[in-house]
Amino acid sequence: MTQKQTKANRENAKQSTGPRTRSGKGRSSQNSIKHGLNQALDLEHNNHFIILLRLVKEDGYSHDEAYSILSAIFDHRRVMEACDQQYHELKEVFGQAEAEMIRELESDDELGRRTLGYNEKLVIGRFKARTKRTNERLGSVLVQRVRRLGKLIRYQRRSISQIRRITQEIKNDKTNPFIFDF
Amino acid sequence: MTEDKLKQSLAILNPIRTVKLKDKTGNFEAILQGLLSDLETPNTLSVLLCEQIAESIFWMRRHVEDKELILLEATAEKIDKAQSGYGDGRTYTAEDVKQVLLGDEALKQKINDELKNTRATNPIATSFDGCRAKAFVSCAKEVRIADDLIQRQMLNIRHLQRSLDAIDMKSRIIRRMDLELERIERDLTVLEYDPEAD
Repeated sequence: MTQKQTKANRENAKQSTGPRTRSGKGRSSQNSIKHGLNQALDLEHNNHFIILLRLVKEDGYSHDEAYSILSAIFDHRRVMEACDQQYHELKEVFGQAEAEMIRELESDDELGRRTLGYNEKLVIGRFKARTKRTNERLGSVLVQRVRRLGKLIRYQRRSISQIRRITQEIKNDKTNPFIFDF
Repeated sequence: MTEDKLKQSLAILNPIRTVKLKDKTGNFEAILQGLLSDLETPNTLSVLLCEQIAESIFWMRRHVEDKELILLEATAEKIDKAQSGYGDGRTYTAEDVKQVLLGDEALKQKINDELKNTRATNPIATSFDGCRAKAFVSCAKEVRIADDLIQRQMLNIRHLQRSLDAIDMKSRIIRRMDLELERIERDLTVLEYDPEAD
C-alpha cells in the first residue's frame, strides 16, 4: 500500500464517527455481549415474572420466598434459552464468499488470469487447501454444536445450584422445629 | 385418576409456561405430560419445576443422540477418506455405519473388501473396525464434551428433583399446618362444649 493510499484511508476513517441515532447506539452497545448470561436479570418489568410471583404467593409462600425461587428459575430459563439458541445456530464455514468468487474465476480463465495473474491456478490451489484445512478444524455441524454448548455448562451449574439452594433454604425454614412447636 | 391429575396440572401450567423449545418431534410434551401425571399435589411451583425437569430429560436425550451421531459421522468420514484419500465425495453415511454396528454383516464385509483394495494408497485403516478406532481417537475431545453435557443434565435433573421434593415438603407442611389448625379448632370446640364443665 502506498503512502497516498494510507493517507486516504485515514482521512476516510475520520469521517465515520460511529453510531449517531439512539437505536444505533443501543445496538452498538451490545456488540461486546456474547450471550449476556453474566448480566443481572431485569425482573421488575417482566410481566410473566409478575404473574408467576402473584400465583406462587397465592399458594402460601412469602414474598421473599416466591421472589427468590422465581428469580432462580428465570435465571435458569435464560441459560437454557441460550443453549437452545446455540443448538440451532448455523454451521460456521470458512471462506464461503471467497469460494463463490473462486468458482466464478475458475469458470472464466481470462477473468481468472486478469484478477489473479499468471499464477492463478497456484493461488486457487493454495486457497482451496487452506479452506479445506480450516473447515476440517472447525468440524461438522454436530461438532461445532457440542463445542458451543460445552461453553454453557458452567452457567447451567450456577443456575441449578441456585434453585437447589433456595428450595433447600425454604424447606429448612419450614421444618425448623421451633416454628412448628405449637 | 392420573388423567385428572394431568388435566389439573396442565390447567395450571398452560397459562404460565416458561419452556419454549424449538422441538417439532413432540418428545418434550410427552416427557412433560408423563411427569405432570405423577404429581401428587400440583401447584404453580411444582408444575414449573416439572417443566424444568422435563426440559433437562429432553436435553439429555438430545446430547446422547448428538454423541452417537458424532461417532457415526466420524467413522463414515474415516471410511470415505480411507477409500478416496481425500474424503470429499461421501460414499458412506452415519446411517450406513449404524447399520453395520446393528449387525449388517454384508455391508461390513463390503466395506472391508473395498478398504483392502485400496491398501496401497490408504493412509487411514484397512478395515471397518480400524476406521472406527481411528474415528474414536479423532473425535475424543468432542465426545468428552458431549459426556460432560449429558452428565450436567443428569445433575440438573437430580437437583431439580430434590427441589421438587423440598417444594412438595412445603405443601405437605402447609397441609400439616392446616390439619394442626383444624385439630386446635376442634379441641377448642370440644373445650367449649366440655360436658364435664357442666
